[in-house]
Amino acid sequence: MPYESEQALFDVALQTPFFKKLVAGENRAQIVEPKGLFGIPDLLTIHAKRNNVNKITTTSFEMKLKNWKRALAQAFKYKAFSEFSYVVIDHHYAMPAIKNISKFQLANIGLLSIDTKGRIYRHVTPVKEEPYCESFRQQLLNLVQPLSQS
Amino acid sequence: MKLKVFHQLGFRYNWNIDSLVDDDCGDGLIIAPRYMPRDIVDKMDPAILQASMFDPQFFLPATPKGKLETYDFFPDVTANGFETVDFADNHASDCAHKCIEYQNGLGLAYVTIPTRYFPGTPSSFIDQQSNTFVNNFITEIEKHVVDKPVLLQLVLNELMIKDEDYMSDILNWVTGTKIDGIYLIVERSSISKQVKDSELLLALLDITTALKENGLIVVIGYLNAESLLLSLANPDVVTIGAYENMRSFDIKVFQEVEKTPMHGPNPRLYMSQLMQWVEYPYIGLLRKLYPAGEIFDSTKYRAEMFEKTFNWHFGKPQLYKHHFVVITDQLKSLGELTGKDRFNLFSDMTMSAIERYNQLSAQGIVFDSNSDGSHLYIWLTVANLYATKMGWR
Amino acid sequence: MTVEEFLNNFTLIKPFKDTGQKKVYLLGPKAGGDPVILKIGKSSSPALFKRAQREVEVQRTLDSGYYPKNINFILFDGNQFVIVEEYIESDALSNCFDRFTEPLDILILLRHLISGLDLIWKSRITHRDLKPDNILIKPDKTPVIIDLGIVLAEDKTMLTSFPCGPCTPAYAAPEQLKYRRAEIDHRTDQFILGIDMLQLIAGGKHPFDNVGSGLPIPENILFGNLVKDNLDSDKFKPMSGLIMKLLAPEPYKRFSNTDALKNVIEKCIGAYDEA
Repeated sequence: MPYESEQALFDVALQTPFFKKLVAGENRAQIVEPKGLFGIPDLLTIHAKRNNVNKITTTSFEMKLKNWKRALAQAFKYKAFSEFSYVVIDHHYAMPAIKNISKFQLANIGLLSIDTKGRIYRHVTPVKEEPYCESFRQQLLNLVQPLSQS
Repeated sequence: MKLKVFHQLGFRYNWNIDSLVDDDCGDGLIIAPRYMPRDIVDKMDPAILQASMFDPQFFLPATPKGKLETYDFFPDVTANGFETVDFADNHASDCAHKCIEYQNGLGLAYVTIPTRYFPGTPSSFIDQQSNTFVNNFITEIEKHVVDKPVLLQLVLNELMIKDEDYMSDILNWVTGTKIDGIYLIVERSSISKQVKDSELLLALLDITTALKENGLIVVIGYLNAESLLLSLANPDVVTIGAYENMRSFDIKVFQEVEKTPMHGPNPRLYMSQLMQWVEYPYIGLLRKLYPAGEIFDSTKYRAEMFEKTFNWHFGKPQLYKHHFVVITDQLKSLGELTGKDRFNLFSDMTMSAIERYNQLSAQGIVFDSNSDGSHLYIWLTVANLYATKMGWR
Repeated sequence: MTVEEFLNNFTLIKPFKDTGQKKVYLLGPKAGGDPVILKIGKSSSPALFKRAQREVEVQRTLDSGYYPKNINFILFDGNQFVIVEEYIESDALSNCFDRFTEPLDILILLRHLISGLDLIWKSRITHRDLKPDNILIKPDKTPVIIDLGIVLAEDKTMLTSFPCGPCTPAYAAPEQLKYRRAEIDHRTDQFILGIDMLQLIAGGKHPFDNVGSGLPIPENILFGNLVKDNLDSDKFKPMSGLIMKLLAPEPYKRFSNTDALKNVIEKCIGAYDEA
């Protein structure tokens, strides 16, 4: 059964242990659709190591029902400011993306699919990579700064 | 006849003028009264004017946006309030007289008969153009003894261009009118930064060819990198522009619209090896992959932009002056050849750009649709189809 | 003086035409001299009268062997007028298709016609009625163009208001049949010449007639239904491009100027000369 909307996929995803682990707990935060960066991730998670806002690791997520190609291009943009970047796709439509798994591996973009029961399938796990655009990385830090103070 | 490159002037017209004068980039200007007040144009260097043309920009004759109101021949100014029937009956002749007199006085390379903008495919397009401007301008041109080629401006939208019967009517009309050429502007409906509509591109090549076969001069305005493809049809002049709205015609620029807060676009760098404007964040990645810089074009502006202290912003002139130099070189290379040879060079350039994108893809770079090479396959296909029609392959 | 009194100065050689509205005679002056063509019409028919005036107006600007000279134009009491015109010994092309069966003959005829028509095209005048009846052929095979009555000067008003515009529908260009006045110019005449030339190539058979569509000639012209088998033969193939360009449905696809057309005609003649 496919998801009816990307919002539905997003809502279910955030209830899964995988995502809960990313956003809950100490020194962790999330921003939904942060503006002013290179593209707009559906979700940006932040982890500050040892409470040091200058040593944060971020993960960006692009969630799509089926357009894996567009999702891949968007997710690649997020690597401009994020150490990790994932595409999350409706498991019902995941096969075309899975068939092109090498593209995700080559680009170092994670690929997850999620079914309507909330089960997450990991197809590609990215390795940590330094963001490729200094100015957008700084932009992200500027966004995150107020969070650390709250 | 050599392929000429004119700067399509916009808000930052000084950048174009600098490029023409300081960098010897391009062959002339298309002067834009929307942005340049009359007293500025009047004081321009005669040598520059001699190589340039003036675009009256009467697209919306009731709306003297920007500096258009400084020109007493703008329809709304001449008529003290433009209304179609009243203008045609009472003011069209006076407007034409003043506009032709002005253009004649500037000593330009071409004299332009203005056009009115119409959306859709109005059945009265030809009649309205004839009655509002064309007939009176032709009468005035005969009276003034204009010794420069006369161009009839046309703003055509995609619906018009793709409608074979509609375009036949327009071509029959213009090829039977007493003019020397056409100043063609295309209004696209797609929001993609490069033109990816094969039907539109092929139609433009065919239209240019038909006009040329009828002995008409062809100037194509508001072009982006598709000027490289359109050069195959041997237009006389193609244009280059700075900001995006000078590389793709947008009627909103001439309308009174409510100002909504806008976020400026990300800066882009034109790269000849990709035949594409690549968005700034990708540039950093490319610099890391190619530390020697061999993928980038070498100009003095690139050196400035790659300084650590350079603040990348869409309002920086270096982005555009770099583009002017780079694309003019590409157009010059194409312009030195004709027919099949020009097609072969274009084909080689495009295939090299596709190969370059493949190399980047193999290194794991995924561009979005406005920085990628998806337009290149379409351009190559269109070029091949056109070349087959022309008997070049 | 009445028309009858005027006619007493002439001896009838032969009548040419009598349509009720217009009568045409070949007459010999009783006082001696060359025979003349006399055209008698009713000036009470405004269209006919204006047509006659237009014809005379144009004829008087032309000093060329391709057009008969106008000798006189007289308005009589009783609402009649007479045009007196030079008589040129000739026969209508419609009666001598068999004299033009060879490609070179057809091309040379076309070249002559273009040279003659260029004289009016230069003044932005279109003939509009170049059917074979209106092209006379002299014994030396050179043409004379007659019946300038429905010429269209591009800046003058229309003479009539027929729904299809003044023309002979079987020898009309698509823009005439669609009555697209603004598109009627020298290229319209090219199309009609294309019909004439293809008719010669086809041995007198009208190229848009009996094409298998079941439609009358004007409809076949509009839909581009024509028979060009002869044109595709080895004998006429070298001139195929020329004829088909003349017959292009859209004016912008025909020749944009006389020089371009003449160049192609010369090339075709050259191709046959070499062969």
